[in-house]
Amino acid sequence: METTRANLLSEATELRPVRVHAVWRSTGGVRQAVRLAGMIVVPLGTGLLVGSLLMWALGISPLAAFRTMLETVVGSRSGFTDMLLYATPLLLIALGYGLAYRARVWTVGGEGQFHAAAIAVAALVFTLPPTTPRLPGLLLMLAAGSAAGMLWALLPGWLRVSRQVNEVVSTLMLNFVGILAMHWVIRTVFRDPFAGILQTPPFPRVFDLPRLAGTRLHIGLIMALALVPVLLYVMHYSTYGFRIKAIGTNPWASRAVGIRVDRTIIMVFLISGMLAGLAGAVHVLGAAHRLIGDLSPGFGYTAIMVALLARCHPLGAVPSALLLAGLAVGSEGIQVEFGIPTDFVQVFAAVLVLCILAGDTLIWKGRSPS
Amino acid sequence: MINMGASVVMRGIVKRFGHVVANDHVDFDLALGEIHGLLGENGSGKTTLMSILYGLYQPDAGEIRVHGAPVALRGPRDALERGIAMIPQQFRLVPTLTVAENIALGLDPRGRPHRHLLRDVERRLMALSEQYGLQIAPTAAVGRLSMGERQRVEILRALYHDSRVLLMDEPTSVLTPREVDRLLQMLAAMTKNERRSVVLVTHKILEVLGVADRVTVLRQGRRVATLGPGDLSADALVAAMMGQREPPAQASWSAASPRSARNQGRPILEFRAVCVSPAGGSDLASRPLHDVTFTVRSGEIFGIAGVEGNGQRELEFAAAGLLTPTAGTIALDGNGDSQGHSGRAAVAYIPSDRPRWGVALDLTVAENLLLRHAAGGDPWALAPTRRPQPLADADNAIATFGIHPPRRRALVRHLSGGNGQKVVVARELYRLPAVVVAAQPTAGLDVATSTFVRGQLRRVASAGAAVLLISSDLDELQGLCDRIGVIYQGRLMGIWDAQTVTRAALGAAMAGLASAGGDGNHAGESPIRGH
Amino acid sequence: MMIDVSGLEQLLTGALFFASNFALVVGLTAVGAAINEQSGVLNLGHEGVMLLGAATGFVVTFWTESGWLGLLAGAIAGAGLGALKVAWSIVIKTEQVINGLLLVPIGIGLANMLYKHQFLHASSPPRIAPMPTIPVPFLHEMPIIGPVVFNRSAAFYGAILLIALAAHFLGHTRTGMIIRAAGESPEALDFNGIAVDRYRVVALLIGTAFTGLAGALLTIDQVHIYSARMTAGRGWIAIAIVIVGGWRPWTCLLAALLFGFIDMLQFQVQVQSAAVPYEILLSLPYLATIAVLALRQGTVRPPAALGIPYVR
Repeated sequence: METTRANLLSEATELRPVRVHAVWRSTGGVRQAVRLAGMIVVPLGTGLLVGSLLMWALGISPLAAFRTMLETVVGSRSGFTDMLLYATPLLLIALGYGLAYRARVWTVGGEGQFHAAAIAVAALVFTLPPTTPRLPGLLLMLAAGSAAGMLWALLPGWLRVSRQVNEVVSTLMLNFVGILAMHWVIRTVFRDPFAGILQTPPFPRVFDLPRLAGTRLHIGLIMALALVPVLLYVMHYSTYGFRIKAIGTNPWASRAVGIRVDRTIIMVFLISGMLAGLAGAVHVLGAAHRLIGDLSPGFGYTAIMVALLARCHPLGAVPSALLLAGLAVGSEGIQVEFGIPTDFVQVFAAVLVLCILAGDTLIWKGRSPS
Repeated sequence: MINMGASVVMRGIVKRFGHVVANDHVDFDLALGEIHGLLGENGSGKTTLMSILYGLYQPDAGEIRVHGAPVALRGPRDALERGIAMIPQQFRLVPTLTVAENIALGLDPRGRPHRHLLRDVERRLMALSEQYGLQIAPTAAVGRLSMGERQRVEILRALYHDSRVLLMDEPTSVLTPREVDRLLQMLAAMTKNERRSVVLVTHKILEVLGVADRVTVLRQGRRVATLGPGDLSADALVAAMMGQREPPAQASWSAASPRSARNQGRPILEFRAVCVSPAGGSDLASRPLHDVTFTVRSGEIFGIAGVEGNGQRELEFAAAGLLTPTAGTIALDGNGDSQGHSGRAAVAYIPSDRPRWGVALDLTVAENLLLRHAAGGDPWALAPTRRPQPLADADNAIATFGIHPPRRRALVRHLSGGNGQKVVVARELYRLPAVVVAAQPTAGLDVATSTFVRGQLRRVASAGAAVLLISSDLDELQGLCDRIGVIYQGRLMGIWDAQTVTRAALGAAMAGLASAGGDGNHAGESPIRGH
Repeated sequence: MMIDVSGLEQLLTGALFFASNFALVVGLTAVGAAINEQSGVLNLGHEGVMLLGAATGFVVTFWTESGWLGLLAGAIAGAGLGALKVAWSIVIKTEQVINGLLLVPIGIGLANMLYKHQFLHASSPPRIAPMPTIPVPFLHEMPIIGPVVFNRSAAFYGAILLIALAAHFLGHTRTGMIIRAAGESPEALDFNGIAVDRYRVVALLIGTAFTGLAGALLTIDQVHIYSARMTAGRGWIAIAIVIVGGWRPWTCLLAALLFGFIDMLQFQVQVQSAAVPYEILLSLPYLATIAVLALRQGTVRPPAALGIPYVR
């Protein structure tokens, strides 16, 4: 996806004078901090404004609505738990996206990888004897889920490096295939004969992920949080992360200095697939405890917004995942209270990300793709 | 015949890009019915001058007159309306559209239905192609045409507008020798019979000698000479183009370090009958290489001279390990088959296309300096990057190579071209590599930086590196190299001792005329005998 | 079991009827997407744009009782989201993959809120009257084809006419030609003194208007009610169809028809619980898209400048 730029014009683009903001950059940390704050406050403000306008248009006091949301999420223990349960797969998938986007691999395949993992986990749950020791069994399932996610990411990765197939389209298409594959598995192999809806019987209790003392929270949350510093190290402090950044910035120069670009890109696909697969595995084993037709409320898509809100940074992914999970859970409170559909938070979140994109492009200029 | 009226007069044209002056008070006259050669090295400002005349750039100062009237050319449309057409080096044709549609893109329909417009275009194209003997099917998709045919479309486009002035940028670079002859014949006919004027932008000396009535030579953005029928000769052109360098500079070059005793070091980089075919599947090969054989020894700087577009890019990519030859081998330190990763990691590479292959513009200076660390051997490379040693190395490199601004965290995008090149040179040469491939390492750089870069090449060579220097600057080659090979249409025309060879001999070989073949191993030689 | 001929005919007619409905909506969207992509702008947001068109069309038709006004409103709403995409893709030039995907939640959210805003207190889902059918003289009496193609509403005929117009527009008008050039080789356009971005804006607005119109067609001419998930992935399939249909309007419609048959087939399979898993049939469009992209040989390929903002 790249055009040779006009030869006639290349001189001009190459010899562009030093930009004004380079001077600005050099004036130090205070400006940096101000700008960083601006880059968070301005999008949040715009998002809030648009959200408020929408609610106002619906005849609902924005203030009351936001209070309701806040109460739903932090006002009750169950709401708070729901948010953390929702945030867990979001965080895992977004960590993988963040890594991939840094390499300019535009995968949107988390949803399909999530479902592929769910199939793998269910297959193990229903085939392993109930007498299987718990810990090895669970570890095997988590590994199988991750592996399934990797497998689901391997095809688009391979197609990208060997046949130049755009990964956006291939991963998107495989999302639908993944969901349909899970439906097929539920319907034909593991269907709960007594349920009216498309779902499997509940998993045996032995295969529940360990819970956190006295809550519905499961160890998947801890795993996701533990992976944050790991990803932080890999992406920002290790040579491997540097390699990914280099490929994302200039694949040609990376190739010229001897980086194995194709291999690294496949690896990036596999890692992001593994994390999405892990998300599927912990969600099924820790929260859903069965396969069900609408297993994921679009985790794989919301995670794109999480990763972008976090600007692909692992540390930023934590508050971003919490924010979007809080919005999702809080909007249910609004639905109960005011009867407006939950989708409006999606608008709010999307506007937020649009503002971030615009801000980054306008302020941070000079990072055009290709 | 020439002085029968001026077609275009450009006076005192100045064009700056940032700090770089691309055109520095250039005067240029184009007479009616003449073919005017515009000659110069890369970066001498000839394409910029023509872009100004075609309205793509606005000059910072100066005046343009077309047929006596002063004009302001704000865009290609203005130029076309005044009868000026450009046939660019990279064709501006849409491959998915037909020939007629491509022509129609540049026409003002004036409310006429598209269908009628296209029909008229097709009809006139047929007539024009018959009149000028340029066979082309108006309804053929441009993507299916050969490069020569695409050029015909570009020329037809100019004729379609009945342009009186044709600006042709490197028109022969994509043509086969036969097509070149036909093109030049046609240009001669167009100028003599129809009193059109043609500017032939090129750096091929012999080509302009054959057809041009006058030749203007640009050097570093300035006009150095305009030669007419009386004083037009290859020697005069070479002298003007290469410039009479000031003696001190010349002296400092050759005196700074005694040339390494050549042919004494071990053979480090060997090309053995290397062939590259554009059909070989790699998008890096657009021109062929035929049986290229040479050896670069330890401590030696081996130069490749040639007119741009004769396979230097392919040679460069092959030597850097980026392009796998379709036949033959490239041996590093005696080991055959250097293609692929081990080769790439072992070769210090200063590419000709710096923004693409040399630096990552959106990484910092330090990151670019440490880019080779990212290529480390183990697949996971989980070692931390920010170890003190590499960072100290980076700081050291910034200081010793005089990179400005001297800040590790400055983005390379914000550096000038010369400092960008210093980053590449620092990264590649800091650690005294064994093999260096440097392609056009000083193109577009100012004198100080060029001198610095050349000094660095000499430094690593005297420390034992085998340096392959591909350049279109003959002074540079003669000042630096131990031996010089000349490449012409993908073949090595011969290899000469840099100190004894004459400029005329090199020039002749660059033009494809040499049969002398140099005094080393040369192209005609069988690869087996050479080693 | 014996099936008499008229029964079979009835079955086939019904099936084709549904297939053609699916194909028309998806095909119209795919043509819109093709116009977008031919100009070099990648738009992945059709699912959201379509639902917003569906909701807007429904609401306007419900209040004005005019199907035509509803269709027009759907198209305008689609182009409205298109304007947002214009700002982010062409003016600010942010990553097109992302800003297109973001149109989906925005479109879906706005659509459902609009509907809820209008019918917050409705006890039962409101319904709009179907547009009257206009039988084409003689032709509508043909078996099977007659009722499926020649005994439909004016909107149905209009949509087909629109696809024909789009094909003509892209292939045989000056603007269409420039739009194709903008996606293939924007620097050639620039060389001819034509503003690339201006034509990309035009293409983006036309394309999203098509998608919005397709959504409105779905509610106004086919389903007559609105529901929050009614587009059911049609906007995504359209993106697949553009690729399978090779970015050309008529082949897109053909591909849409093929997928319409598959959709109808899976529905039959599902109802009759046949041995073939219907999920496989449903995956076919997606798998076919990947296969087309992986196996493409020269002729069928995306516009060269697709997804790349033009910067001189």
